[in-house]
Amino acid sequence: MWNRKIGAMALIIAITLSIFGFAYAHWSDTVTIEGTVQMGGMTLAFDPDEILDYVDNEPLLPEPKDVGWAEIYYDPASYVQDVHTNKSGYKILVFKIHDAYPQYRVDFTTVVLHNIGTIPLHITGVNVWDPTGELNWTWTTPPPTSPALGVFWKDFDGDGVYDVDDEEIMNVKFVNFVCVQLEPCESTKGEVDIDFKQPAEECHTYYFAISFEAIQWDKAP
Amino acid sequence: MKTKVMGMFALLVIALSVAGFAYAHWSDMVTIDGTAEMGSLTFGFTKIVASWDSEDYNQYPPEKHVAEGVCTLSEPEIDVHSNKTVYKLLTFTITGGYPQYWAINKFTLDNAGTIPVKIQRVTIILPPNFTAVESTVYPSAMWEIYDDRTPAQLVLNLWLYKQPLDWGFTPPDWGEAPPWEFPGPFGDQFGVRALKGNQIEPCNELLTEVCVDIKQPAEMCHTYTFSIEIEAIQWNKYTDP
Repeated sequence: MWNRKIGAMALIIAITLSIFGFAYAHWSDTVTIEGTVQMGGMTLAFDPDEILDYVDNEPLLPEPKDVGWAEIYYDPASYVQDVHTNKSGYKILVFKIHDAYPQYRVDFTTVVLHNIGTIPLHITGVNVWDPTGELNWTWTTPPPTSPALGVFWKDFDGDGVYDVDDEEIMNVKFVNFVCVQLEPCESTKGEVDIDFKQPAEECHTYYFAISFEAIQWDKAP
Repeated sequence: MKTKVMGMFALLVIALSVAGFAYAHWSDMVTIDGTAEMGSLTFGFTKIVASWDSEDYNQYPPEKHVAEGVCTLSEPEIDVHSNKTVYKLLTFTITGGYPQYWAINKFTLDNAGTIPVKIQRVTIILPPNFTAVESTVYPSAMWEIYDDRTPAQLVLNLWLYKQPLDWGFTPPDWGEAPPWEFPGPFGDQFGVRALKGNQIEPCNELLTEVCVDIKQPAEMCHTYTFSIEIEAIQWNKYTDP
């Protein structure tokens, strides 16, 4: 009796398997697409190979003197290296003006921006700030107009509002940067021109920092 | 006693002769020799037809070639019946990518075997920490690839679709428009069509395009990878999903 039951079960399993075998039997084949997307890099930096220099207006005065002087240097903390090209540069440039006086004018004429990435870029704007927070920045002719003009002012009366003529410390002009398109490895030279205004204070050292903004060339406004 | 033994022997002989008479007959036999020569199911890529990208349309003159999408075929396999060679692996590599760049490669999927095949399944395989979400607008034709950082970011749109037949082998001239903006709704003669369910007869091919569209959150200097598995099954075993 027991043997007959086992035999019947084996028969049922065999029939079931054959039914499923019939149902699922098929041939199939598979192919594969393997994709890799290696992104490029977009890096705009000040070119450290360029010698930073300036000229001021004192040699052109009716009575030439050498009173005011300036420093210009890259912020070491802003060092950047593009991993694709291995080229390097700095993101922040600092200007420091000593012994300045109203009507003193100084032009930094050797500022060079370099596209050290792999994507063409379009320079869209400038960030300008006083790291001490003492001076405020206001654009008078903002980018994308080039040259772009702005003013550093000090809130002498504490009302939080820029009072034209009474609070201007220095005007700053950016020449030949904004709206320039740079191919990879290409660079552009421009100027940052400063002139001090009447409200500038005595015995003060003013300094400020700048950095530039850029966008991939095909998304330029 | 001797007589009895003789009697039993005689009876046995008679019984045997009777039985021999009962079973004696002539017989003959025929044979069916069966041979099942099986066909073959061989499915693969055969050629790269064309490639183009968003930089080919000169929308931002002067024309630039910053990024590049290149396709190559490997892992050849020869079908013993048709003697045709197909390739099992297509490698699509984009270098120098950036947001809004897209690249398309057009290739053929061939049935090199003797059995009609139907495309049963398209599977997107991603590395850990990436997720593919099938588009509801272009089902089985477009997948959004998310980088699962917090919050998840859409880094790529991945397209795989059958090319409308009337386009031929040359890229369509829709100006700068990527394929998903071509005129016509999904499914008409210009629209993007899913691979799944398409049947390929023996010695026939299916013009197919793969497109990678890089989105804004894609990171600089990063490498994204993906795999797409396309499974074809004998035509009579295709099951509707």
